[in-house]
Amino acid sequence: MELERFETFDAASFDSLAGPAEMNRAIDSMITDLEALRRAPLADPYIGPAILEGRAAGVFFHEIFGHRVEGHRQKNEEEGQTFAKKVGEPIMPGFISVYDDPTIARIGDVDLNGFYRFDDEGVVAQRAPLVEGGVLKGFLLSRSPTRGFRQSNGHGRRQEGRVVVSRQGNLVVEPKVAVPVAELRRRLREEAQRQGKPYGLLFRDISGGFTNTARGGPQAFKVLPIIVYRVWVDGRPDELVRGADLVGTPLSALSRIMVASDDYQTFNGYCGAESGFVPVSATSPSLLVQQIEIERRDKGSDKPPILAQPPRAPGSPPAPRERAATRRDGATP
Amino acid sequence: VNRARVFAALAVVGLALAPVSSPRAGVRADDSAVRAALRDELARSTAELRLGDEPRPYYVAYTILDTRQATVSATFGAVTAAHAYQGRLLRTDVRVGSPAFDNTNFEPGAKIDALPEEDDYAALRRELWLRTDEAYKQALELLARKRAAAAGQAGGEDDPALGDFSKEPPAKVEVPFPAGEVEPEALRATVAKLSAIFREYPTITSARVTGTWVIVRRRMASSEDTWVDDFQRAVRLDVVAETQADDGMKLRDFVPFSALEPSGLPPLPEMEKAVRAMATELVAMRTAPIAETGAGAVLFEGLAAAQLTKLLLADHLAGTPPPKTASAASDDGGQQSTLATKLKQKVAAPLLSAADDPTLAVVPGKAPGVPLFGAYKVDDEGVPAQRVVLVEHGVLEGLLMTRTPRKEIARSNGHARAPRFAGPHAHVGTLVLSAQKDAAQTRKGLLSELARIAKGGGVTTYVVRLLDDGLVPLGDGDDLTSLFTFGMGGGHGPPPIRPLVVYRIEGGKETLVRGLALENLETRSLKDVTAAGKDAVVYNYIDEGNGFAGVPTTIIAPPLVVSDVDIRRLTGKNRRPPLYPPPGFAAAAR
Repeated sequence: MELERFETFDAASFDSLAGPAEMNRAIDSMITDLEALRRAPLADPYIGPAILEGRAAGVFFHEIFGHRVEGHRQKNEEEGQTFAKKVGEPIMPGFISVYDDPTIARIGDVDLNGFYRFDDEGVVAQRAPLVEGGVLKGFLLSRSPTRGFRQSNGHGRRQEGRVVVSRQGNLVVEPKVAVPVAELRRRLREEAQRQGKPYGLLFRDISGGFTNTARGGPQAFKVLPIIVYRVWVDGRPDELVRGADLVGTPLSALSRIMVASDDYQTFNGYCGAESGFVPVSATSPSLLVQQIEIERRDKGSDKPPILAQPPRAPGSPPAPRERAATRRDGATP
Repeated sequence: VNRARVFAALAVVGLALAPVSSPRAGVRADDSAVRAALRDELARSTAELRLGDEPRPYYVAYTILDTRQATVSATFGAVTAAHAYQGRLLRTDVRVGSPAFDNTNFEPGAKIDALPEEDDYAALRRELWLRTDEAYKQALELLARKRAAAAGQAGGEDDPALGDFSKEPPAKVEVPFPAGEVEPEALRATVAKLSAIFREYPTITSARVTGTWVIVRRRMASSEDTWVDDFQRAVRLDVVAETQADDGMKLRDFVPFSALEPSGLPPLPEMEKAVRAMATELVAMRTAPIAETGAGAVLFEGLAAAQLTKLLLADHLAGTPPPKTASAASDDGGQQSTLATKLKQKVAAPLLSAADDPTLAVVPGKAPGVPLFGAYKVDDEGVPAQRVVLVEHGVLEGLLMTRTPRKEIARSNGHARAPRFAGPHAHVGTLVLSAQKDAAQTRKGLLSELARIAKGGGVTTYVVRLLDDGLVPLGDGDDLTSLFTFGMGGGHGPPPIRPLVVYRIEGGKETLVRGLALENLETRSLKDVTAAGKDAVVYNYIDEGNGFAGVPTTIIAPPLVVSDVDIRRLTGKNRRPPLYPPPGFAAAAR
């Protein structure tokens, strides 16, 4: 199985880019993670409670919620229109609010990728309240009106050369009540035990995700995690697993959010849809979800390289550490 | 209804757009590191690479291509783009089995990967290691599949002793690589000036000048001890313009200029003169009459002669046989070139002879400065280039060969050539088409030959000066829609050829005409060549691949009279010309 780990450093200017120390730390942790992933057992298909840490939760919201509240989807008959007629109705637990606000340049010390002052139709960027206290309040809107919403809220966006549709900018998930991170873990164990599971899952990092919003296809999403731990009910140390994809359907997933913690993280990235790739961010606290489902990932079957890694300079022997690592990890099938 | 709309991941960031790199000062350059990495990994791959009981590779070759490219485009005097690109690619060739039967000549494909640009031994070797590993495993899989396919087939006419890979002495070639950057500034002024000429022609709706300068350094090392370190250079300026007749028909014209380096381009006044002549001709075309469908006799002169030679001859000379193990149901015919099965047969009029000579340094009868894109010393399989006689007095005497042998020709003649992103295949280098000395005629003689053909009646005569040969991107191509909708003659015959500059000859008078296609021109039409001229044209172009990633090629051809060409008037609806007159340029406003 090919294993990947990635880090990106986004900033609005070179000055606010992460420094060498921070980058080195990130690179070291990538190496540690990858070495650990090589030894990690394969994940089994599983249904049960899970914690999505901030970045994972951000992408989770981007996919299962954000794309479904894009205004143009509410009036296209080919779309799933999951939320088209749900304005004013509760769609997630009452302690959660969600908004998209392109006018925020920074959260903490992170520059937000989705920051802009005017959208691509020349409309002033503004905060779009989407969910307040669990109740759907509105949509992301361009100048194309949709039922009940006649004016743009500055979310008409596009990649150069494409036609504008409504898109996310900086999506923010804001809980009314939040518990400390340790409490979130305790609640995960408790919930797993209640459901009769030996472990719950913890999603630390994801590479991205995708969702289908068209009718005819399933109204489902898939999130591609990279770092997933089993959190054992019996108190054993967390166990890294590999090869799990997180799958689900939006209404069910949103209604099962139990608790949020008082941390938050931002995922900066580029989002692709009809109007091309646009820079976006998603910021969320860690979330405990009562039930998620994971399935096995396509793992590939290529054998690892036959020869050991070559030496770093002409005439020198292969680097011993890597050689040892290759043997220890049982690279030879 | 079933169209699933899938949204790409948030995190495909980084994959979305690869940054275009520009040549950077301070990038480590160390030729010996590149050579040592190639040598060391080659030695290890040859001696140690082996999967279980499977065979070791019997041949490993690496080709590293360092490309430096600069491009400038401009329209009506304004520069629209100017950028430089630098990149390094690796082509990995691993053969398992034996030269008699190996994993190649079965399914097409080549292994091309990006390499670090810096001359860093460790980074390069690491890539070589991993890419060789992949290529080897792929080769084993292909060999197994090829064996299975062969086992299931009854023997055909092919000689079973005919191998997959001919034995050739290893090439050793080193050409010192010139220092210096390839940068767009060298072309910027010229490109801008040439494009500004079109400000003087208000009816020309679109005008684009693109200048490209490229140097590709090639380093090739193989387990046969091949070592090639050389380079190819090319500069081309393409001047393309477009206008619309009042009936909406789109009209195009282009002028290419070629050189090996920017200083080798023709003097600016000379290029300006050529561009003005083109623009004037294009404007005249707007009011030219539309040609009529009917039988024609055509004099192809200027670039059109070389373009015709490309379409009828150069593209059909590969001697590579079809894969021996092609699936039993498939017809071999479609898998080799038109001429591959016609050795020793008449393929052209007896007055024509042709040879391909990549070793040609100077065009016979031309000034020594005329560049030849198709010149090279060693081909992309490491075989020294050879002059090959292809057609002698109309009879096919040779084919272009790679190291894949065919029954009649067991050895390569150094014509394996590879576009940047594909594997080598048989391709022309510098193709010289020539007329028998005493048969070569002056233009006057060629025109009287046309008159002779037309004498019996029922034939209209034309002079074609330029074709759309698909090598210069000419525009949106929307007028071709009608051509292909109505022009395929029921789906039979070769695709029609679209001439861009055509004159009809009536009573000794040449009249510019527009709106026609040439039909049923194919390789066998070379037998309908009844006369050839004295003054050969040199056409340099980059074949295949996207633009400059292709194979640099030269065709030298004299004017040709083809006695039997079907002329078809283009029909179909055109979009109206612009509703308003052009805004005009301050300097040229009327």
